[in-house]
Amino acid sequence: MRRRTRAWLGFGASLALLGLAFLLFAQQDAWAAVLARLFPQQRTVVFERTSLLALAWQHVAIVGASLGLILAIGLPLGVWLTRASGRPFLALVSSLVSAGQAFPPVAVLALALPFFGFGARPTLIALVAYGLLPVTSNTVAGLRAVPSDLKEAGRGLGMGPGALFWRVEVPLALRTVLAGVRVSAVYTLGTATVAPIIGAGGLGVPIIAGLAVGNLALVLQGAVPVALLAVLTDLALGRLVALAPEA
Amino acid sequence: MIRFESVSKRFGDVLAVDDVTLHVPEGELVVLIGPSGCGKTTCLKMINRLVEPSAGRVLVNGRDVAHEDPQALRRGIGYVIQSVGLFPHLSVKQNVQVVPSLLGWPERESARRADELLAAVGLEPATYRDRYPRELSGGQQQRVGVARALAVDPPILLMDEPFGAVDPLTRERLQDEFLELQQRLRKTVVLVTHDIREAVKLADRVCLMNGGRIEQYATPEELLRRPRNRFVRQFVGSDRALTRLSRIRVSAVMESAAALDVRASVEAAEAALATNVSLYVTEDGALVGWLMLPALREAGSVQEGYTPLAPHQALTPSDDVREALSRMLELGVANLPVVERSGRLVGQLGLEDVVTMTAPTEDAPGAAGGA
Repeated sequence: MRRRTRAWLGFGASLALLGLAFLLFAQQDAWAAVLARLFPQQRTVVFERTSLLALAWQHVAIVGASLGLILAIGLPLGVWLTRASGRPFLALVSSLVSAGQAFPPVAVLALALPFFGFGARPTLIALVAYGLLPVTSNTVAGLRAVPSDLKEAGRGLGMGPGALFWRVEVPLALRTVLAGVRVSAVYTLGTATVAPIIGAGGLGVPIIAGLAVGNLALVLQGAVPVALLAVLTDLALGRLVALAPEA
Repeated sequence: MIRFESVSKRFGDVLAVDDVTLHVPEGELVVLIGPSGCGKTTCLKMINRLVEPSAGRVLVNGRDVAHEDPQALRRGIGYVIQSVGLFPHLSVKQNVQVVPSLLGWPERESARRADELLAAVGLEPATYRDRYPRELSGGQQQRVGVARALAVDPPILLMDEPFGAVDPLTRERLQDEFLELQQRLRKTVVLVTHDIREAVKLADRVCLMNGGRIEQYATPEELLRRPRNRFVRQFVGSDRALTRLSRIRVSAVMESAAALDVRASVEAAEAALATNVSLYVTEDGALVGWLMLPALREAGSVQEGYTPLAPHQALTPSDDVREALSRMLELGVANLPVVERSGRLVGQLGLEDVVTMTAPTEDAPGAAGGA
């Protein structure tokens, strides 16, 4: 399948580009030089307490942890909602999960603050609440779209529930599920920039600091890398979606 | 082999199957037929426990299926459904390998078996094994479905409208091929259809159902000759005499044909034509045309005088008599030669023979069918 080879190459290339982005983030002096030229009247053009590379790693760590939690909760939840035992809860859980996304993340942060205090924990909660919807709903949608004739064919050939799930339902739902993961990942990358409001790090740090003092150079120092990461992640996961079997 | 004992199935308020007792003998092809909602598919699915009976027992090889492990039971029973049943994310080979892999066959062995089966259903393995279902025509998908059902050589095959999703021409060919395969394999087959012609063509026995009950269970011949009641008569249709002809091969009823070699002398030809109005003309046994006395006299030789025949003006031994009759009407003749694929003349079929053969015997017109 030439189409598959192309998708694998594309996936590899976007991963390589992500690596290159980090090499770029390591060039602290270059960023300073460029931003200084763009904003000659600013005295501080880069965030000095933490290096850009360290901020980027923090950002990736926050997003990675959130995404891990989102998958750990969202995938089994989506699967459960399509099983006989979970089907009655589908409407309830769907509205709860949508509600999580209806709140702006800043509001979730504000709500989480009194319970969990400052730091990483409330940040993760806010990001997970925000990113859960695409994964859960796409898992549900993907599994429900598997034609019932095919499931019956599988049963008729002697597949038990496990074999039917792994050999028929998962492969046929994978494309939709991965599309949800892709959306969630990009959301979370962007939304994680609000983390510094409650004391977590990441690329939001120079953005929030820059906004506070009206320093556009600092805002750009955080925003451009975030945008770069989001675009490249979207590209990589898009190639991954293309690798999933067509239903 | 398969036995239904007073089986009923209720879906909510609807009695889908009502006290059905039925025996499917080993090695026979039984067709369950009837209008939509008559319970035929429900009956089929009770054999491999996709549906559980509300009352009664279904026995396979003398054992109540209710006590069997459903997965093990199903792996031992081939299952063919309309072509939608192929897994779109698996290649042709992987589709055929589904049951072997569930049974833990080694890959080498199941790959060899898949190739063997693809060849058996008329798909060149090297060309088709790595294709995906969406890259195949409806007829090819159906062949893969049959190959998949036969993968572990189960003694029983369940087929749910297996030829329903293809065009009439392909359907006819698939039916012929399946019959050929079945003659070799002698599986116990239960096939569901709503097409009476398909039933008559394929079945050893037909089980005609209506409203969850069996209306008549008989050989196709019997069903068409002696419909048991009004419903059966209506269902098999007023052209049932014609339908019956479709079961009969030309080879079974043709008679010998008088023929003359194209190199025969005029004298020999005249002598032969004294007893026959016309003669078929052959060259080394192969049919080339036909000859009548006036044409022979006018031309002066057999070679010059015979009228050539086009291929469509001859029958083959494997044609059914219904087709043969249709061909005669089309060509406006009362007699057609029968030739083998090689072109060799093997006999002839006359309209008279067909009429005599189909003349009503025991069932006088209008006779009410009794049990």
